[in-house]
Amino acid sequence: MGEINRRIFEKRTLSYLGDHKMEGALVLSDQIVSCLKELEQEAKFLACYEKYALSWDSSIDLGSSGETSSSGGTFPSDEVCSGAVRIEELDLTLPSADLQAILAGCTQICVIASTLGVAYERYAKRVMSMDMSHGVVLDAAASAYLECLTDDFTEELGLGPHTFRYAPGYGDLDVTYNVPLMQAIRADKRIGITHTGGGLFLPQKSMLGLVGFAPAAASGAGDAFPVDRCEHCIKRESCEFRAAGTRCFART
Amino acid sequence: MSENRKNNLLARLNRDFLLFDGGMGTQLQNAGLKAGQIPEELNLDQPELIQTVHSNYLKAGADFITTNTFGCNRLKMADAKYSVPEMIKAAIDNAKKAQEACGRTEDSYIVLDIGPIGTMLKPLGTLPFEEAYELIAEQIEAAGTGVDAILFETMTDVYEVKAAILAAKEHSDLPIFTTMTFDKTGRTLTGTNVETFVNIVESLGVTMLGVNCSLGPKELAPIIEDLLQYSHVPVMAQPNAGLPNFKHGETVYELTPEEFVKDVKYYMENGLAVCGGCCGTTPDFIRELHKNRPKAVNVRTNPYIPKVSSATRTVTFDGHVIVCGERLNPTGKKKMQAALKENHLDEVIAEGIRQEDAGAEVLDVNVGLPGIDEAAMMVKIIPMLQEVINLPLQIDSSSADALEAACRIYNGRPLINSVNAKPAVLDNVLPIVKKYGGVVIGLTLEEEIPLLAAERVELAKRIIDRAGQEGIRPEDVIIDCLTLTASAQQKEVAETLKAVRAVREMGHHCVLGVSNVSFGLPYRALLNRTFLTMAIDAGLDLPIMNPLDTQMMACVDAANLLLNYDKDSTCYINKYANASDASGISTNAVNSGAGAGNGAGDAGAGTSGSGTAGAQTAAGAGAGFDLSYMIKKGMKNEVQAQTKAELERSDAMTLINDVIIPALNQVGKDYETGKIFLPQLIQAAETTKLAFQVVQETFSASDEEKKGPVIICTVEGDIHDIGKNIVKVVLESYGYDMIDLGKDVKAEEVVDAYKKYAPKAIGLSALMTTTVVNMQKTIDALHAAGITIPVWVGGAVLTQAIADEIGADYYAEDAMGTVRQMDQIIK
Repeated sequence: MGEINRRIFEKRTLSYLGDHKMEGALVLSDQIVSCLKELEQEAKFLACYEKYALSWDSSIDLGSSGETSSSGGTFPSDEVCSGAVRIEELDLTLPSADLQAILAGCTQICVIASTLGVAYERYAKRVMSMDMSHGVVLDAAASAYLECLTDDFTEELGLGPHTFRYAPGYGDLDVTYNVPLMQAIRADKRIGITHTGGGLFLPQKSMLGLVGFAPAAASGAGDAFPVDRCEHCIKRESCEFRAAGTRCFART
Repeated sequence: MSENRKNNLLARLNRDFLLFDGGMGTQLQNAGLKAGQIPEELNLDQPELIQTVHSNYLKAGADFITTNTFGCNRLKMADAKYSVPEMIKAAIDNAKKAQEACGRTEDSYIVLDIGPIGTMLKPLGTLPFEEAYELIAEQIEAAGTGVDAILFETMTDVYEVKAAILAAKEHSDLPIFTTMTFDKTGRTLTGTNVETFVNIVESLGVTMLGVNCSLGPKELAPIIEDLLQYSHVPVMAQPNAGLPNFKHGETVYELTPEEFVKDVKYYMENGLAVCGGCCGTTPDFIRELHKNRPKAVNVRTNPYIPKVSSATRTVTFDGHVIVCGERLNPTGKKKMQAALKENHLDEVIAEGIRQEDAGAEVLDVNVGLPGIDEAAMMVKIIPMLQEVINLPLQIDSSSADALEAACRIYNGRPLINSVNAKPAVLDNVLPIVKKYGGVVIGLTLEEEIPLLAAERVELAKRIIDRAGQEGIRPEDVIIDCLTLTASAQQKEVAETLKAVRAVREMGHHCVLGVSNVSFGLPYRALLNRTFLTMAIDAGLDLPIMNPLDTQMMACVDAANLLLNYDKDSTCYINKYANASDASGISTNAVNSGAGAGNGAGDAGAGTSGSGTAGAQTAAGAGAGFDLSYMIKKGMKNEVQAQTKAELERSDAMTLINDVIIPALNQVGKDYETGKIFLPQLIQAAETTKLAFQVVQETFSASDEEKKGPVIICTVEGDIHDIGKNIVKVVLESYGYDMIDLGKDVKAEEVVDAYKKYAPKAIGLSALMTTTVVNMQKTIDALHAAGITIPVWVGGAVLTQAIADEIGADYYAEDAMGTVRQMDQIIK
């Protein structure tokens, strides 16, 4: 992987720590730079993916029409995308109104898994044992680092116009769907991500995302998202991003 | 398998060059297996298909066929329509039918294939070691005597491999083959390199070891070379058919059989005993291997050097001086005793980290204390240490039960401290050493310590001979000639050195507890480091000592340079480039400082070295900031000196109520109003804790000042503990006595902890929606046990509504919210 975009990395790290006033942010700036160096040293970024054709299971009514936002959606919204998203090749139905809306117009889905590896996990635990204050900054920085590297990885796949990365567990798609998706792309064997029965990733700094794309669609479609993607989110009521007038999925 | 058949196989291994089969999954996918389908069900649904795959490999020339049971464990087969035993028995039956159909029942072997369990073991994951053991044992039990050998393959966690090998050893007497998967960096995904893998599994007694999967033969060449360099048992390799490419949503391997064989042929002729194929390989690959295989194995003879390992680091007894840190031992250490008794194990862990940072290569772990269940404490603390410390551990106990429990749970190849020449001790402990593959320390004493060197050497010989009878290599016994105290037995100090010299001349490595020499005398540091230097000259290469004593560490560093182990003086120059000859060795240049002064003081070196830390903090105290400012700014390095200074002007309670608590409250308010971030709140909380430590020293009965105790943990199934740890630190800074049960804690353990500690409140944390159910389970268990103290819950997915629903008494949104609530709960 090449170098990450430091500005985005720093901004995301601060976001994970909570959007506070400038006084606190300035104090943490040097520490975040230090965390980046530690991550470059200790983390071992690994990612893998598989692409699948999408279909729709219209027998499942999710109570949503799959509309895209009035502000940006450029995937062909007049297509029939009703019902639940289905990956026929995996014999897997994803009963999610979020996904139904997000993937409207997409013809394919890319399942991406990524991780910072076990060595980082050990290192983070060690830092936390000796200096919890720094450990908390490192944890936020690691989340931002994983996202930035996964963004770069996604872009290098050459999917063309695509949706943002949607992660089971953060919307109305249950976190347990991580299990069959991880198994399908063999993330355990390829990059060492395993899971608990409840869909919890091991190592902890790992993620799985679903990216919709349509090779023939018009450019700019990657900005498309439904009006209220937070509708089903577990943190909707307590979300610091929403409180600050932004969204966790906002790119910069 | 009959004894004859087993002997035949063992005789052929490492004599005849033998072939494994190739990929099973690839063959099944070609036959129409769909993603998501369970391959092991085919053993019953399409037995002919499985038999055909086996037959094709046998016809191509394979000597070993692996059963179609790669993922056939209870966890992975949870959704299968057949039971694990049914599928395993059918798989073996299919392999046997293929042998019969090909007329190869006599000259081919069936191997029970066991792949990774599919989830990570504790402490990094949630699967307990013994449960992993049980899952593997079930598979081995199901296979019974229907196979000729057991193969553990594609595992990436050597801890899982250890559980598997133990399960095999305790449930069968079949030959055990073990291959792991390594990446291009030469390590498994969990960080184990080839040398460490070989040291661990060979010492556990595997018949053959090797590598499979992940890379093609060309990329695996350095891995195979390392395996051949380090192993003393036959080596096997099963590469993939090159590196995978992804085309049209499918994984494609593009190496041809000819290219595959070309890349692996050199190793077939130079040490490999067995070769086969993994992903992407087919009967054509095995046929090509058969065509090109040498008739006999080109057997290697590698020298044997004793080594101990953690999962990620191996320490070799090659003659260099290896420092074993002595500080994880409660003997004579009040803080360590209190930490073990009060379950404040994070302090023990921190002491381990400090020793690793100071340059120790091995850490001694002793938890022997009246009132402590030593075996249970070993099982608890060893995984906690191994989660954050890379060093191999020296398991130290006089109890055989504690040694066995510790060796079993230990991830790696342990150093075991110790046996002596008493027959009963040898009888009890040596079988444990053999079973778990340890390197053992032999104390040269029987009923008492002999005074003369020659007598101690005789006891050393007796221990080594007795170990040999148990099948333990003589090199794996490290001899302790025992340091005597100069104040009481001055004459015998020289006898110890004489014995060390004699034992080294016999070719054995030597260990000594160095600082015993100075008990009862002033200026112990001088005696310790002088004796250390003399003992190293005599041949000591494993001093058990305090690595935080920078001057003793300097002696070791100098010795390793002068004895030509520190090649080109690299380590020495790195550490001492800024040290001054004129002023002696600057401790600042040697050590990052954490605990350097404390450690030297505890070991009795205070007269020479303990002033450093004090001087540094005194400088901080003179910087002109008051205690309130230091807490608000989180000035951890300076706060204790300033607290001491302010205690000279004010009594303790006034300082707490008028300075410390208001400062901390201000920080909390700044956090809640968005002026500072969470790490700054934590920094202030940790600073406050340090100030409290100084203040508490002035209390006559400090327990009365503590609030609580309060139990806190992350519930079963959840391993996210950052939030829980933050709440703990902040509550501690407000004076609460926190009992931390850790993460992934079962409901019964919380109930047991209540009975043990009688807390005033219990806090439960969970991050995932899927583990909130275990929060409720814990609350229900507490209620069922008649426990009515307040339970508060917190975590990212929790809300007041959920807290009410699951029966919690309080919900806290964050750490400061918990403080407010706790002030209400515990008044």
